[in-house]
Amino acid sequence: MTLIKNIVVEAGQLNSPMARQVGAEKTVSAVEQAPRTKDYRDGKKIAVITGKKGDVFGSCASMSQEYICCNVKVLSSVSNCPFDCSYCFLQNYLTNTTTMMIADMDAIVAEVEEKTAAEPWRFFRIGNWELGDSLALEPDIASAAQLIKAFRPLKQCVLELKTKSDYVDNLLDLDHDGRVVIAWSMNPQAVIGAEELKTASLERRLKAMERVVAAGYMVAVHFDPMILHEGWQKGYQEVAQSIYEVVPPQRMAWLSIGSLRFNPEMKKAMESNFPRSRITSEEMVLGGDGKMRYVKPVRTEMYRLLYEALRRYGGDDPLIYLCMERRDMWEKVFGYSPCSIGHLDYIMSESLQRRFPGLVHEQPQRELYDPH
Amino acid sequence: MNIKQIPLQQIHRQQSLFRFRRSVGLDNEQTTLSDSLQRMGMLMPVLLYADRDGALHLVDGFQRLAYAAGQGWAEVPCRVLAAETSMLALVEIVLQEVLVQVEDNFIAKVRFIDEALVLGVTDEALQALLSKLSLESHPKVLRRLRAVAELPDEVLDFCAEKRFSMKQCFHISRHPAGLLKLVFSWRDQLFLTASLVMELCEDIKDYLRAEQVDTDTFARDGEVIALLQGHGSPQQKTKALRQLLRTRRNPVLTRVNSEMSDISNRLNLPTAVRISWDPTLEQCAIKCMVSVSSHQEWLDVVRRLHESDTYDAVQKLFEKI
Repeated sequence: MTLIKNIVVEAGQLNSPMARQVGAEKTVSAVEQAPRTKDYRDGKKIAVITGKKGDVFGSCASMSQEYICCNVKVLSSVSNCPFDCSYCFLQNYLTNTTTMMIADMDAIVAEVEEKTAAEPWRFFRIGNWELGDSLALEPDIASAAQLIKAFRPLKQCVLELKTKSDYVDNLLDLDHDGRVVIAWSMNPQAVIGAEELKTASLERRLKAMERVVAAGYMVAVHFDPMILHEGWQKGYQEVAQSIYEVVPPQRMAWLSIGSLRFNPEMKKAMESNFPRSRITSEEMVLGGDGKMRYVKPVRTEMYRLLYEALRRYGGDDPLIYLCMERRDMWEKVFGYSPCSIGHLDYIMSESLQRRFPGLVHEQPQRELYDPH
Repeated sequence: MNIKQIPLQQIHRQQSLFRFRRSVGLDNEQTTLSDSLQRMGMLMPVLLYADRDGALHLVDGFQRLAYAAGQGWAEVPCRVLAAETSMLALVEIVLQEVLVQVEDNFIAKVRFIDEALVLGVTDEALQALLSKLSLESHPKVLRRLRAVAELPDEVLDFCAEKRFSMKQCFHISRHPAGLLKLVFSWRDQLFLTASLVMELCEDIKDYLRAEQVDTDTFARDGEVIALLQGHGSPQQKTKALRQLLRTRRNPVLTRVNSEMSDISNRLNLPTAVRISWDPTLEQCAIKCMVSVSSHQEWLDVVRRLHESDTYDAVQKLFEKI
């Protein structure tokens, strides 16, 4: 067992493949109902394998009309995470902090099939990382490996598994049919060491990237949140260079850039949970989505610098987008901006269709993605 | 338990271990019971606790005993609890007496819990007591209450006076004691309200963390000293200090807004025209408001806005945001 101290299986899930796999190697206790935990950190020590209760497929919670969102769909199959990032919004979001994994893959896939069928023309990017890390529990509960297997028949989707770990061993020999993107949230080691506690180091993340590329996976990288720190310019440029030393640009599905943001209430939680972190003390403003951000001139400088480095080392082909920024920021950094959320969704599908032949089920049509 | 007549001078009243009344703001011993005591005498015995050394501490009956002392009574009827009585039971008796006062004020609850801690009531027992104070019975709440209890006295008094909520108290207790002492040391020079104290603490804390300087260094800051020692009312000084902190906390926004104001001012537009923008720079928009009182004035304004330096200035403003 890695970071999780205790694994609990809900009685109804004892025979699930996920529980059976854990039971072979680990001590597992069964309960009628998953325990509820209130304390943010207590919930990180206990993992519960649970059944699917209600819908798990939805839109990214940060979607807002004022800011351009990439329109990724999220699968709430994981809740909470054993890692301990100072900026993590979960510390002020979850009411039940117990780490949960949904074992019922058939039910998840059935829901995804039903909902994606409503828009047959659309290609769906689906990630399960909104409320947790896709791979953090892989050494304890091989849930990502099972999700990959379950998603294989879904030709209208690409599955994105996003992590700050290097737990990729379970994935390397799987038949993923080239329909899975393994994504990393990346930062310079100075930020990883100070703010992303218990996660894999930069070096380990890069090595894991190299291994999944060798196993035929597509890779995605999220520079989100970019965090100001001493020497940030050199730090981010070096990370951009290191990534393209292990990932050929043609295997890079997409890259996103975003900066630190949090709601004002969370500032207190961050300062209380991470008293040594100084990230909340930078110059920030309240955005139209109710979140604190670095001031615009600073964000612009950060994004431009990183964008130039990514283009320098990775060329012009991989798609790069901004996460939760207004159109004027896109103009400043990229020299263009999507007209709408639907337009960005189209741009991403079109890029995948062009760059990864056979991946997207049909030629994306702009007027369907962005009818207005 | 027998009722005994005990001489007043043998009873610890002011020095009683259970004189929580002072802490929770119930120190006025002027009794409202004087009429009935005068007419009927003391019908209910007071409750005492005999400690292991035999000292008698008043637990319940502070008002009655105050009346008796005022009237020069020599002795009063008492029930005496033995030394082995549990502290929690004693604290619960005290709570009954002060509950109305304590329920009404969060700082009174904090002080009550703190007194109970001093008496050696265990954490587990205290947790059970929390629900009687309408607080969540959780170790985290107890930890936070303790942190509030450790605030400097002047801060606690201020919080009690301004009726701080539990959330506000928990929040203020997260600030370092040195910072709180500094802000409260300015109480005579500044106009402090609950929200201003919170704002100043937050802004100074962020500034100190961002600049990596300590509270003492900030207290010796020439600009701050000049501001506090200068002329002006407490309200004016408070406004000036807030402005100073805002400028220091937002160097980029201050600089860019100042540059934009310079561009706008250099245009020397007619007074009928007002140019403004979102000072946080988040909204990419320049507002140009025209207010005219004659057709001629309108024509003058339009002509002026059509001049090339206006075009250039607006372009420069957009470059800034």
